[in-house]
Amino acid sequence: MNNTASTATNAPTLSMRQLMVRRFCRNRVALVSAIVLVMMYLAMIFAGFVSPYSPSKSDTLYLTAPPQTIRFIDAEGNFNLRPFVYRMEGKRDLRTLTFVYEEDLNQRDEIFLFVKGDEYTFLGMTFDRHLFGTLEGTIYLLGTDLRGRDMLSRIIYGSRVTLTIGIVGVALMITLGALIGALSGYIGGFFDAAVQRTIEVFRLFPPIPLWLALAAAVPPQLPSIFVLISIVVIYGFIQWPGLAREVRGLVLVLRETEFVLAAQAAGAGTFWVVRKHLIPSVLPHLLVTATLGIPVVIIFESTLSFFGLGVKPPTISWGLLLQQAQKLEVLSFYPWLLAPAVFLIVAALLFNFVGDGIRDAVDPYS
Amino acid sequence: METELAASSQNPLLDVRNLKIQIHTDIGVVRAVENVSFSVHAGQALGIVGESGCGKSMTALSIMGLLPGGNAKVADGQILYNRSDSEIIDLATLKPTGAKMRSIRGNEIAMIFQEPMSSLNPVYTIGDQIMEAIILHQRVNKTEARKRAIKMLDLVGIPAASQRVDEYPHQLSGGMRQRVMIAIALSCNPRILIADEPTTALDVTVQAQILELIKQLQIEFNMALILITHDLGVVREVADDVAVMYFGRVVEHAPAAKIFKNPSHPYTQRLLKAIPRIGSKEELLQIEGSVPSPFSIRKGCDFAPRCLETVQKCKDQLPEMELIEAQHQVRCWLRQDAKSLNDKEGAKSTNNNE
Ligand SMILES: Nc1ncnc2c1ncn2[C@@H]1O[C@H](COP(=O)(O)OP(=O)(O)OP(=O)(O)O)[C@@H](O)[C@H]1O
Ligand SMILES: [Mg+2]
Repeated sequence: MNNTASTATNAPTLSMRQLMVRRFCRNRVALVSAIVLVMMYLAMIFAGFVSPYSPSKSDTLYLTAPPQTIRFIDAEGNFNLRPFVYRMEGKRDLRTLTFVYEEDLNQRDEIFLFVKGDEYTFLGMTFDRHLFGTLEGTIYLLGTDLRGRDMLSRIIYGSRVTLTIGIVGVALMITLGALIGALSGYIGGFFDAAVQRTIEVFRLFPPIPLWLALAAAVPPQLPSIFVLISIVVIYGFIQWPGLAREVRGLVLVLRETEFVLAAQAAGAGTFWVVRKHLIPSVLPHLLVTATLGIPVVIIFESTLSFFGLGVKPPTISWGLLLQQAQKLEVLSFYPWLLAPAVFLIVAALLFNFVGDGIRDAVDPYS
Repeated sequence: METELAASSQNPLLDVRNLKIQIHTDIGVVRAVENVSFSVHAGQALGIVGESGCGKSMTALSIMGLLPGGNAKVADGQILYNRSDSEIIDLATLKPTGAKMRSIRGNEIAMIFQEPMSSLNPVYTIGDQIMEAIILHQRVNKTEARKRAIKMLDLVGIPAASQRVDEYPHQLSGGMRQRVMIAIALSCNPRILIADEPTTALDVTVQAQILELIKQLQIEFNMALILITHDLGVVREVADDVAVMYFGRVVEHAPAAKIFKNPSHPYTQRLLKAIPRIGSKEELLQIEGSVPSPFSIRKGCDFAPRCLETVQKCKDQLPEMELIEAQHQVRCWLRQDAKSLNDKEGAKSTNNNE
């Protein structure tokens, strides 16, 4: 008896989860992507503080002003420890008669942290400090839109809709898919057959027309939140069947494992086994599906908003911001209005990198 | 042992009567268990022996209400569980997923499985898994459950239990894991313990330790034990009573001492010869004839095709279980006929003496 005891391993106790986290952290691309994503979400949460301006404040002096560059080295080539921007000067170009902005090399506005600016509310309280800004002049790092609103601030505020909707949509999809799939695979029999037929019916719906139809069916006078909810619900309802199928397949294998039988023998009921043993075992798979699913929702919301079927002002989303970049002339004259698209693509890529990283961490052999 | 039996023979803890289990498959009905009867009392150990596929696990799972989903069913018979003097429950008629079955399963009747490697969920610590069994049946908080888990680990001989409670299954050896499985099974103080080949997957040196542990705990907890194995050697050390199964039927049932001293059924005799293991298992498989297909219509004695002593009667008619001496039942025409011949002669001689 004691012989077997002494063969005890002295290795530190690492759970499966810890092992996965370790493997994930070894994947540099995924790790960096995850960190950047976390930063994007933090900026989203503290949007009022991080964005230099209020997203609705229009500066009539600077309509469609181009991005200002942060500089350390001035026009004479001197290094400056405190970064600054040159003040913008609006002029009418006498030859083309268009309004153009030029940097005034004589007026530099230094950038400070925690400067006073537009008021915003956070957790019901009003603040006026912003992460960065200038004491005088302007700092439009991504330029301004057709009405003179700061693009960067609008993008940061827009992420509230864009980045949350992905998570909410995927959460709904995962909850439905995992629960129904696990129960279907575990219980089997008539319930399984019924679920499988339902899934087939759901999968017959063509997704895009359904989205368009449903989004268009929401009366325009209703606040944007209804549109958002309908987008999330539609996504959840279209996507859960696919996931349910996958989870069911995994559960069919797991159901035969001895530890499920052992749990049943200990007196666990159906829901207990599903919740405590089956779902945790398919959790890594769900995590991968979730991270890869989020960009899909994000892009879909943006598409709808881009076509005017999604959120409506004053609500902002990245897709909505892109609406003003629909016209070709706008694109050629004011390319910075495309910045939200860059954010969209980057966010989608980051989620994909993280998803791949998780997949590799979970199952190093595939 | 026999006095024990006599003392409690009025009300066995578990009384299985004429149990029939059928598995419905696409190609037909498998009669996995046919008319199996046995009973166990508190503090008694019953060994069920038989080769692979003879229906041992099915019998055990039917007691637990865990027959594999949908297609396996108790077709006939009763599984009477004496919950208390006033409550005798037929487990065969209970809804397997119902609250009552769940309150019995794992709580009053517990089971240990063959594969300690995969019987533990790799996601949870062993402590979590013992606590799970406790929390499923008892209203205790986590700290209390944890204390109990450590106590159980201690009880099954896992050293430094308060540290190992936080380890994961993959950190433990096979023997250690089987000890954890035993701890889980015993955590709610069950009255009946079913062990389905608890040592088959372990290496030989560990097997003896685990068996010893099971036996010791059975006595300590005064449990009824049903030990399932294909190894008569295992039964010899642990069981008070032995039921030998062949092809879904019990063919010999007697106190262990009698089985080993006077094995009667030709199949039991074969099994006993197979104990010295080396080479003899092959010999057993090389017996002329083959195991009948589970789908075949049965006629006569199941063992007849492989039996060396077969007579015509064996092929035509299925023998019933009959006593050939006190407490010793055998399902074999030859032994039963020999006994009645003996009885007649005995009667004659006593007559002559008069
Ligand atoms: N899912 C199933 N479908 C069809 N037949 C099955 C199924 N499970 C078991 N059987 C059959 O039921 C019979 C009894 O099986 P059981 O598992 O009880 O045998 P066993 O005595 O426990 O054998 P082992 O020593 O291999 O564990 C076997 O003939 C087997 O072929
Ligand atoms: Mg078995």
